[in-house]
Amino acid sequence: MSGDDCRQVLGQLQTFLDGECAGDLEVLVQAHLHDCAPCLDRADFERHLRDLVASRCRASAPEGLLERVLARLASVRA
Amino acid sequence: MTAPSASQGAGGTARQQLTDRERREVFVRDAMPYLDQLYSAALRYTRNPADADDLVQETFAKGYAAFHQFRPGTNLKAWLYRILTNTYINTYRKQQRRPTEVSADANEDFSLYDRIASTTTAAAEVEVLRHLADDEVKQALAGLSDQFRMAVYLADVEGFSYAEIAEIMGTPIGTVMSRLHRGRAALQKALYGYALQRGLVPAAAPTDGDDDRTERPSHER
Repeated sequence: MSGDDCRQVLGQLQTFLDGECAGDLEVLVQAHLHDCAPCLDRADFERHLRDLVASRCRASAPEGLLERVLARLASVRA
Repeated sequence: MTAPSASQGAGGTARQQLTDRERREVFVRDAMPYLDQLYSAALRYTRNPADADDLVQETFAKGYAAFHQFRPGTNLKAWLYRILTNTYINTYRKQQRRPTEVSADANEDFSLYDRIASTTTAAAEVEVLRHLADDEVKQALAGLSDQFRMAVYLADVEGFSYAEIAEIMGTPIGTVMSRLHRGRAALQKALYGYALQRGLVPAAAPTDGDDDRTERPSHER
């Protein structure tokens, strides 16, 4: 299973996971991942990694920031 | 209409013409829901809470001052991110003390998956991710130089499209793709460093040497 198909798919994997593959290519990658366990495994890993970064790197605004922003806006001429 | 009398209300003004107060209300209603997200991005950009706080205030002030240029119905979130990003690049970045950054250029094709797969027998790849600490993930992102850190953040945390990131960063889409590719590779390399350090993966046979692994102060003292 690790022939040219795999190479082509892995070359497009990031773009695919970003949802930026053109229609035909997206279908092709999807079909390949459906049939090829090693490539799917890798795709899952990359997905997990993105989820990890997304969940760990989010932060909420600190206490008082909203008020500071509003006060700042009151002094801005728009 | 002059500013001093604006607070007298909308009663007598033409419908099309918003008073300062109305304009501010519209801006607050539409833009303020992005406060948390913009702060989060500001924190990852500046890597410190005080600067992030300032950067967010500055972003909203600039956004408000330029709000008449915003076309209703277009992407307000991306518009605000663009202001945030420009403000960071033009002001804060210059004055910041920066930690050692990983230049992403050298490791264009680093794959964390391959590294883990090559040194472990079981299917442990995802397991390794689960064991990485929150701070290690944040530090790995913080260690990327600006262009890579911003691109990775905008894509992986915010989920912006390539076209949106291109607009936010003011670069062609091809540049965005290249920054993402290299930034993610550098991020994976940094995570691999943490995984090694903590023994989550066994040390591999020295293939590419230590030339580009930055010394990490794992403990302050």
